[in-house]
Amino acid sequence: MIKFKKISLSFLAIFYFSSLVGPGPKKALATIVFDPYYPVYVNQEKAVILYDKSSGKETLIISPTFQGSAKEFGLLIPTPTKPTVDTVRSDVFTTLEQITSPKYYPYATRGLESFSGLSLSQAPSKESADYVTVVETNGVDVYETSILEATNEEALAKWLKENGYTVPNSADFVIKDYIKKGYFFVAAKIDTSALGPFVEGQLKNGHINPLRIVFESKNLFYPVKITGALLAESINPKPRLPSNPVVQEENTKVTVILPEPQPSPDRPVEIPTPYPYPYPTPFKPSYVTYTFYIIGDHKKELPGFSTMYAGALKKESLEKLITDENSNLLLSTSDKKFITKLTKSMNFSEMNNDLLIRDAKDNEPVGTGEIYVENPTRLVLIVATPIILEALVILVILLRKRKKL
Amino acid sequence: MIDVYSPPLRRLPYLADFDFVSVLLLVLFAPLAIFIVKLALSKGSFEEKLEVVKKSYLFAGSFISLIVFYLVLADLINIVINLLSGNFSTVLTSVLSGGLSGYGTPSFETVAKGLSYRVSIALVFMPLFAYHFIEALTPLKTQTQDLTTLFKILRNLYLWMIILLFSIILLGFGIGLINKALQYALGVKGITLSEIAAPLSFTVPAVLFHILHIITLKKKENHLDRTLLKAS
Repeated sequence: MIKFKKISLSFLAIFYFSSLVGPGPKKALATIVFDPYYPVYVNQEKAVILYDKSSGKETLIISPTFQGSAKEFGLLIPTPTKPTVDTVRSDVFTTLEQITSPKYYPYATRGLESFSGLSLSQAPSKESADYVTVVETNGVDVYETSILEATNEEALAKWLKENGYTVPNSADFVIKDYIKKGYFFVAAKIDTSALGPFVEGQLKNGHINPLRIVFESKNLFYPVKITGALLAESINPKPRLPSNPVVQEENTKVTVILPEPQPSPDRPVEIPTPYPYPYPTPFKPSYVTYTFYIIGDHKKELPGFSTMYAGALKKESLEKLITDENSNLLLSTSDKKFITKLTKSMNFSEMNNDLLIRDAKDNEPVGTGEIYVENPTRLVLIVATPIILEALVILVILLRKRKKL
Repeated sequence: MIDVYSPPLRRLPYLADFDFVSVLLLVLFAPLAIFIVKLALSKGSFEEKLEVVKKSYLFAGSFISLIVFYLVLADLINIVINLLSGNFSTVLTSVLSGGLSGYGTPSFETVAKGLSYRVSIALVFMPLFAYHFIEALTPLKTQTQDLTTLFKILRNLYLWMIILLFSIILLGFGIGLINKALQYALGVKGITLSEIAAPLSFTVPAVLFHILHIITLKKKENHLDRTLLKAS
């Protein structure tokens, strides 16, 4: 018997997991199953990216939106150096949305509704795999986060699998690439004690407190490669075979029989919910809509991304960006920062490299209601000088005429 | 679903008041036009009638170039203040995609094109106004007493009408300027320099032209008094 489960992807994240997973890692069985009758929503990923050029410190604030069950939620974020992880208030995004509301007609459409998908099952085991070092495990707000350092992609996959995450084979080469570069990984999921409709609702509607990941980076980057690999996998799912499948060969036809999930006190077998009527049209998305709020010293750009807003962050705006209950600010009010909002719906095939965010040619505002004048004095001089000169010439002519009279 | 931000279309104050100004001008200048026609049809030599036609043209030219120069100057001041204050707002009447129109922020290129166009108009109309104004006010070459007296009345009437016109403009925009400036000083929410820019840009050149015509009128009246004194 195969149970169907909603599969969706979260922004950076990652792992699928099937509800066929049994109670323990050894019995776990991962396969990708798409419900043919349930609609699959388009992904939307929101992030605030802060970058301090002088120190090379990058801060990623990621707002996860996930349409599945909270217990299936998980993230995997590669970082070039060891990160620190905490959370900020979710209203940071609401405030930024207000600040960056264009003061003019925007041509872009509003982001499509998102779905998510991924996959966890149970609490991570305390043991780490041979080539995976669990640098840190923390409970941050409703999340349970682990900072991982791996030397081997298979070992990392094993660790993730043992801890309830499942990565498709096709994503291995991407993870291998990150490991080669010496990247760390932040794995996050919802703490089992926080599981419930309250957190699930926050997660579905994008109101869960975002994760803040701070790390050092030579360049301002945003990882999308893993997402691309997983998104591609979600369209053409190829299950990572379980360790103990029963294979029956009949002539040329091979059938893989997956073991039945065993109920347990902490994880009972789920009964599929009846399909809604009328049945929605199944849709497998091949893209993710990204929305980045990038705060730095300069306007930023990304090839192919639309600049929805660009402007200086005013003091009153900075005062609104509170990150916690102690009213700590995201940025000091004395900081002179420029905010750029970039959006794009990216196809998985475009996600072959992580995004390298660069400085724009100029700081011309977009959607602020202001017009960028590089040199206002020059502009006034060009406009006023000929008029003043002409007025003087007329005055001189008049005075001469009067003298003659 | 397309989420469209479409604030209500707001007209700039001068656009709303322009119809009123046109009516006012018609009422003010109708008697002047009748007066000129009467002068042209009056008894006199061909040279005298030609002189009257020439003066009529000069007064009309002076008035038209003055109005064009005034509006362009006001527009220029408005744009420059808005640009420098960093709060540029203008009305886009063009139909945007989706058949909607509303507030828009034009690009710098659009504004720069508009500025250069206005500067060009100002550069052409300033000497035009100066020439027509000075020539219109210079005494008649013909020394016919009746015609000279009629010309002086016509000149003073013209000057008074221009003064009256700018007085009315000042009443409207001056009050608006003081009102907005006070609100700005009091810290009323939503009042920006951009809000003050429109009344300010119409008030400043209006004051200048008002003063110019008052000085000219006073000078001409003084000159007339001196001539009358000499004659007596």
